Amino acid sequence: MSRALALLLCLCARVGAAQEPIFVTPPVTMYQFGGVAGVDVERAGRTTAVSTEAAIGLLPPWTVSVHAVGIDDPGAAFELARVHVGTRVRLVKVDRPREWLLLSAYGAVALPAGDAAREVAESHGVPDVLFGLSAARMARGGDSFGDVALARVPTPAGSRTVGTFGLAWGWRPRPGGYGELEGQLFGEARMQYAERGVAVLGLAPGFLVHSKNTVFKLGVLFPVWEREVEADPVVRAAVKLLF
Amino acid sequence: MSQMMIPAAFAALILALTRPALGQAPAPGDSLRLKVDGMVCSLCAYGVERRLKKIEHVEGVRVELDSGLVVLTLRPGTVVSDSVLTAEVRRAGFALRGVTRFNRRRTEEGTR
Repeated sequence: MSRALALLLCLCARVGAAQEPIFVTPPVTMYQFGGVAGVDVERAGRTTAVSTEAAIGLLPPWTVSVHAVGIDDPGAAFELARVHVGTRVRLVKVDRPREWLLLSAYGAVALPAGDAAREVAESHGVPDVLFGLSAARMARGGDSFGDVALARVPTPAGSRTVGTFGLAWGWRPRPGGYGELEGQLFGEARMQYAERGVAVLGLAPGFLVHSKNTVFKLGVLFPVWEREVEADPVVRAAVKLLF
Repeated sequence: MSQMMIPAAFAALILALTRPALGQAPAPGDSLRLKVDGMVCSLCAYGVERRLKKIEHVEGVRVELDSGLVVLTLRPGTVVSDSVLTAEVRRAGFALRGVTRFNRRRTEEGTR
């Protein structure tokens, strides 16, 4: 599997918040000045991609973020590939008793980071621009999420467009009161789409624990089907802290 | 000497009459029960709690996630209008569906 497709996964989980999935982008409602810090590690063969994110909710329906991707290749020093700035805006929210439905748009664009970073981004396929839509239904018993995104990925010959589609389900085995320690289990599915059709399907179990406004999320994404069977399988893990 | 003691005793009497007795709790303020739609998780509740705590005269906020209720306690003798509550809940990202007011003084008088 090409690195371009693998790293696209990294970008599609930015700016998360609340009790939501780890890899599928949530259409989040974050309270004002709430923050997210996260690390995402992706390994294919002996190459490791590490991305970090920091996000803050300026208003409940508006979040901004910074996201950096670096590549660790065998025999080479760790190199910065891209720094992105992103935003997420709530489009529609419907509140019901103990339930909400939400649709949001999100995007990210790479900042100029020099020729060396551009070459790394081209050779590993780290996207320049990303745009997506995210929808969710959250309720006391469990949640469901979906997202679709398009990204422009630079290549030495120019650029290409790649898409991703994600679904996630969350389940609270035992919903607790406000302030009590509570856990939630997640199952996520991700599909990547490139020029010749579906490129990879992945499944990710994950969990989160929270108490009041502190949330810890952890998940691992495993490939279950890949078009390029000779390529090294990509495994990805992510940790996020919300506060 | 006795001429100095009379004003001092008078001042002490005034103080004793105007100050609440030691150990006596202040009179409780009114409480409001808000029905808020859309609260499902702890971060939802935290956002609502934070906004409502910033309202002047609000002394305490308690969120009941399972019932979708927020209980506010006001400082004694104060009032917060429905429009202020609606605006603050909306700023937190949720919808206020109703307010029920409980007047402590009236309730106490009614039970006597």
